[in-house]
Order: sequence, then C-alpha cells, then structure tokens
Amino acid sequence: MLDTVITIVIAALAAIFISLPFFRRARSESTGNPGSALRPDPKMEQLKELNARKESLLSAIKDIEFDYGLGKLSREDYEDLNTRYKIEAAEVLKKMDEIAQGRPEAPVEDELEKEIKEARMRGYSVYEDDEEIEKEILMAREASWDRESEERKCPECGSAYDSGDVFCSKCGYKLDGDTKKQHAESV
Amino acid sequence: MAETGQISIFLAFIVSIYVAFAAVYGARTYKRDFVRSAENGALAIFFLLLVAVLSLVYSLVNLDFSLKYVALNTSTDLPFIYRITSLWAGQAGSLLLWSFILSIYFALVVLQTRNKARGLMPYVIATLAVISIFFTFIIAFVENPFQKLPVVPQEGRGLNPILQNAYMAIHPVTLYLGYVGVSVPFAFGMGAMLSGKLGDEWIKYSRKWTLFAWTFLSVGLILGARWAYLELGWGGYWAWDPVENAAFMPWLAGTAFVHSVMIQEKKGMLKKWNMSLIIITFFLAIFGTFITRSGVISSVHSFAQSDIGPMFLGFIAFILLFSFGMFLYRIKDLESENRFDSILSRESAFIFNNLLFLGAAFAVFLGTIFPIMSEAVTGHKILVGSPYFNKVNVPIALVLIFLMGVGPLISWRKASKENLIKNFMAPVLVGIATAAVLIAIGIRDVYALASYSLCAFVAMTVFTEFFRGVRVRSRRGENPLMAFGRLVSRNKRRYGGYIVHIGVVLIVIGITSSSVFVTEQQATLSKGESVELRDYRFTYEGIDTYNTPAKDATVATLAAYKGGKPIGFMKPEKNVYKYEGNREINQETEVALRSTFKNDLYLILMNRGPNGSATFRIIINPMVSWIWAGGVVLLIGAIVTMWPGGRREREDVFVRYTVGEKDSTVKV
Repeated sequence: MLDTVITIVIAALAAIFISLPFFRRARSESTGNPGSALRPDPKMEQLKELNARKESLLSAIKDIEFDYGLGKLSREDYEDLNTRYKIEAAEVLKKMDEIAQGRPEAPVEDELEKEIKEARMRGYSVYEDDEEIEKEILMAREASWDRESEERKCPECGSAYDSGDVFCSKCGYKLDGDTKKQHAESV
Repeated sequence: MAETGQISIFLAFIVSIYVAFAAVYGARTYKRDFVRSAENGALAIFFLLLVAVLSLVYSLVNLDFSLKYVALNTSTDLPFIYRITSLWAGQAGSLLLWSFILSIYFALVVLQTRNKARGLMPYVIATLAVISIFFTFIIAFVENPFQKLPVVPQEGRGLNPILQNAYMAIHPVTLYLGYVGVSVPFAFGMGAMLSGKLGDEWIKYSRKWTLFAWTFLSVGLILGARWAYLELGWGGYWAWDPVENAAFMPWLAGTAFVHSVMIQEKKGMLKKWNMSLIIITFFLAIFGTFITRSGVISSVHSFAQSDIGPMFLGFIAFILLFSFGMFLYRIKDLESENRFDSILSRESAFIFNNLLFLGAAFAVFLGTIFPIMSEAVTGHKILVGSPYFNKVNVPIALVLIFLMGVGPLISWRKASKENLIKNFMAPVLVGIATAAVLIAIGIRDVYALASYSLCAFVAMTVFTEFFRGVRVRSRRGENPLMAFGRLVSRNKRRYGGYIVHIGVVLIVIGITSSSVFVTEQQATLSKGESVELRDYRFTYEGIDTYNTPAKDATVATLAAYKGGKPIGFMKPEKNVYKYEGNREINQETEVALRSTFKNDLYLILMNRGPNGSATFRIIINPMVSWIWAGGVVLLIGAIVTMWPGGRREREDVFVRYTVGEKDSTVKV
C-alpha cells in the first residue's frame, strides 16, 4: 500500500514540475507581460557572436605574446600576427559598439577608459592578463581613429573633414572620391 | 519498493520521449515554455531514476530474493558494501547505472546552461533525451532490474569473487562516468548541427564536459588495469581483451578530440574534422558499452548473454546514419576560416597527433571485431591476440610521445629554423644523452631505448616550459614559488595539460620497463627450499589453510630476501569459494605483491603438491608503480585544466553590461 502511495506521489510531482512552465506563462500573460518568446533578438545574437570572436582573439593575442616571451615565436611572426589580431579585434569592438549604441547601460567603455589612463601612468608589461590586452586594443583602436581624423585633411586648405562630408566645410572644395580613397588607403 | 522502482523507470522512459519532442517543438516555434518544460523534464528524469536506483539498492541491501537481479548477484554471506556495489554487477543493474549517470549529466547540463545559448540548447536537450529514450527503454522493457521470480529462492547465487574488491567497486562507475560523459559533447555537436549554430559555441560550452569525461575514461582504464594486475593474477595489467579495448577506443578518439578542438578555438580550422570526431568518439563509447554488455565478444567481462545486442546495433546504426546525415547536410557551413601555412607548425603537430590517435583506434577496432567477423563469415573464430595489437600500437605510441614533446614548443603557423634550433636543442640533447647512457649500461632493446629517450625528451620540453614561464614572471619581481603558482593559475589549460603529459610520460616509462625487462620463473618447492631470481631469493616456509564464511583459503608463506637481506614475508593464496553458481572462477588466486618504485615482486601460488610441496610462479616486474603514480599525476593535471575561474566569468559580466540582460546568468 505504501509503495503505491509513494509511486503516485512521485509521478504526480514529476508531472507538476514538467507542466509548471505552462502555468507560469499563463500567469505572466494575464498580468500583461509579453510571453517570454524564444525568438532571438538578432542584435543580441550578433553581439554574442562578436563577443565570442573577441574573446578568442584576445586569447590568441595572449597566447602569441606568451609564446613570444618564451622565445617560441620569431619577432617577425609575432609582430605580423599581433597586428593582424589587434586590427581584427579593434574592428570587432567597433562593430559591437555600433550595435550596442542606444542601449541604456554601457558603463564598460568609461570604466575601461579610466583603467587605460591608470595603466598608462603605471606602465604596463607584456605578461599581464587579458584586461591589459583589452586596453591595448582600445588604445590601438583610438590611435587608429586619431590617425584617421588627423589625416582626413582637405587637400585644398588643409583643415580636417569628417568622413561623411562631400564638401570641405572651410573652403568648399569638393572632396571627390579620389581624395577619400587615397585617405582610406593610407590608413 | 520494487514496484516504485519499476514504475519510476517506466515514467523516466515516457518523460524522455516528452522531453525530446517538447524541446524540438519549443525550439522550432520559439515557444520558450515548451523548452522550459523540457528542461524540467530532464530534471524529472534524474529524479525518477534516482528513485529507481535507491529502490534497487534497498532491495539489494535487504537481500530481497524475490527479485531476479538480487537473487543472481547477492547472497546471504555478501558483505554490506558489496551488496551496494552489486548494483552494477549484472546486466540490468549496469544499464540502470548507465541511464542514471546519463540523467545526472543531463540535469547538470540543463542547470549549467539555463539561460545561455538559447538557440543551441533545445537541440542539445533533445539529443540527450533521445539517448535517454534508448537506455530507459532497455531497462523498462528488456532488461528489467525489478523482474520478479516466480518462486522466491532461499539463497542467492552470490557476487562473483573477482568483483569483491575495492577497485572493482569503483572501476565501473568511473568508466561509466567516462563513457556516458562523451554523450554531452556529442549532444552539443548534434545541437550545433540541428540548430545551425556551427561556430565555436558548441565547443566552448562542451569543453569542460569533454575534459571531465576524458578524465574519467583515463582513470577508469587505469583502475581497470590495476584491478586486472591484482586480481586476475597472470602478472600483467593489460591483455588487449575486447572489453579493455572497448574502453580504450573512445579514449583514443577522445584524446584526439581534446587536442583538435584547441585548433578550432584558436584558428577556426578543423570544423568538419571536430564534428566527425565527436560523432566517432560517441559511436565508440556506445559500441564499447555494447561489447561489454551484449556478450557478443566473449571475454573475462561477459557476465551475461542477452538479446539486447541487436537493439544496441540498431541504436548504433541510427546514431551513425542520423549524425553523418546531418553532417553532410551542414557541410557547407563547416568551412574553415583559415588555411594551413606550413607542415612545420603547431597545427600540423596537432593534426599528426589526431591522425595517429585515430589510426590506433582503428587498428584496435579492427583487432577487436575481427574474431566476430571471421566467425560470422567463415564459421571459425580467429583470435587476435597481443602480438597484433602491440605490433601496431607500439610504433604509433612512440611517434605520439615524440609529438607530445614537439607540440608545445613548435610555433603556430610556421616554425622558422631559428625557432626550431633554439627551442629543441636542449630537449633533443637530453634525449640523445639518455639513449647514450642507457646503451652504456647495457640496454639494447630498440623499443626500450626509443621509449626512454623520447620520454626524456618530452620531460625536458615540459620542464623547459615551466622553467621559462617561471623565470619570466620572476623577472618582474615575483618569488619563484608564487610565480609558479600564478603561472599555472593564469594558464590552467596549458599547464594542466603539461602536467597530464608528465603523467603520461611516467605511465609510458612504467609500461616500457615492465614489458621489456620483466623476468619470471616457475618453481616447485618443498618446505625449506629456495628459488632465486635476479638478486632476490624466496624460501618456502610452509603452507596453511584458513576459512571464512565465504571461502576456503590456502595460503603459502615465503620469506623474501634481497641481496641476502631479509625483506619480509610474502603470502600468495588460492581460494575456493563455497557457493557455486555465479562463480565462473571458483578458484581464485590472491597474488602476493610487494611494490617499490624499482620493482614489483609478484608471487602466484599455482597449486599445492604432495608432501607439503607447492608450485609457484615468481615474476619481477620493474617499475609497475610508475604506471599508477603516472595515473595520479595525470589526474592532478586534468583537475587543473578543469578548475573554474578566469576569463569566462569576465565574459559573462561584459555581455551582461553591454546587452542589459537582466536574467541572472549561471556561471560556467
């Protein structure tokens, strides 16, 4: 008799537990919340994929720095790979920023900026962990931005222009496709 | 209790079916509640099988002989602890254990990825559920642990004496943790193919599970070898027995997989290779279970014959067809992101590593199924023994050891000449020096020389890695001990892997020594007589008998001397167990063993002769302890690689901040 009771209780518990999510959904719908749909938010998916790519790049950078420090990588190969990875990482970060734009909470950038300033004052060494590498990437990224804006100069009057400009805002020179192309190639 | 157990198994079967359908339905229609319900179902399966396991243990402990399984595997004289371990002594209990361990993994995977990888997980869950369907079906309808006997016997058949041993108590569990564990990365691979998420996500999430399963396969194999060494009493620890091979094959494929996923993670290459490899590894794990459980290949392990053989074959066929079918369907999305740059690179070393491991697995596979195939085709069973396996696998093993040393030191993409010279000079010299020294002291066996030199080479490369890493950190002001600690904790996978390699080196040294330099002698002695072997002498002092409730034991006493000095007494035994029936071996030898790091003294009492004489077999097995010690080091290294902490947690935090995800994410 006890056996049967226990069996029924176990079966009932299992059944209830398995059907719980359906009741929760009904409850949350009745209170006005949208059903938690599984349909993936494409932005979030992209962000996650990019983040995964960033992580593996960081890991790769860390590895080659490590190997280089231990003498396993020649200077040539190290610099070649290092630059390649960092450029790609900078691009990934830029894409992530573009997607994450408009999101209410994005404190990471500011925190990292702060840490970069501190790191610059401290001086950094090649064997610190990934945060250092992140900072390096951000620095490289900013450097490339600075470089871009530095060299985006109107061939006529020499003042800076923005990437979207068609005419120089100072002298009115038409910034034709060639000028911009030249600029893009030099960066 | 038995009824509860039986019904729980049936319910687990039903729920498994539900979970498979609900997960897929929920994924395809984006209805999260169905997926959630499927996840809860996975947890319910664990709960139900736990109830089943507990009822069976309860029946075993209380010797409920009305159950066929209890009557077959226990007896009134069986000590308490072995009543519990008899849970996995027989077919039905063993399969229940398989299902139960699967449900544990299943539940943990669900809990760990509760709110992550939303696109991937439902299909992972569905895959695990399908595997669960198969195994719960078998124990619900074919090999029912709760089957009743029409007449309740007074006494049970008892547990096979060779299973009444501490190693046997844990060996099956550890092996199952390995076999079953391979299901998890396989499920992630299938999930990736079914969901179309063919990037690195599936590898990333399954990484720890792969390492965990691999660790337990390794430990299970080593424990099995140790058990065989102690209990089977023929002086060896590995016989290329079909069931030994059954566990060894997934280990070989799994080791290849553990290495090749590193390349996918770093270089985005070998995607097709990794996917095929995990399918093969899982196939080998199920095939291994099949060999062990279906009795199709007779061996020391064939405890029962039954009709689950065809069902296993059917399941295996289904898995292979479906997985490779999906693979071909998705083949375009599995293109590599990078090319190979040079044959002299770490990528190449890894590829060679993989090819060799798979080559070995294939060779072992052929040798294992050849007897059945030959019997099926010609009617004669052609046995394949150690000579074949050793001939094929020893050279492969030697090249693999070489690669173990080369891999960590060679650079990615392309190794330059300077790189090669600079990094390999010292280890190569150490290897050559070792060979020279060994030749000088008289060792001529080619395999032994190659093996020892390569081991020295590898040991040197690992030492160099640690040394350089610590030196670099010490330069920045850390003291060496701290530097070492932080070096390892900052790079757990790399340095844990190196520790595992050292463990392997120790094991290889032990295997080489005990294979090449073993000496033995058989002698019939009357009381007071001695036999000498190398610098040991054994004097036969006497023979005696004693009885326990379970057995009649005959024990001989020999005094052992090394170089003339007494080193103690050795007491080999020969036992006759009192109850017949389940005992395939009713005469069991208890080996007298004395181990040091240099040698194992291994004494077997063959038989008792007239006038108090006795025949002994004496084996001196050099450096066998190195194998067990190596196993411990390997385990430590594996634990280091799996230790949590580091990048992943930061990644979760980062995504949370940027994306504004409010759900709490479970830390991986």
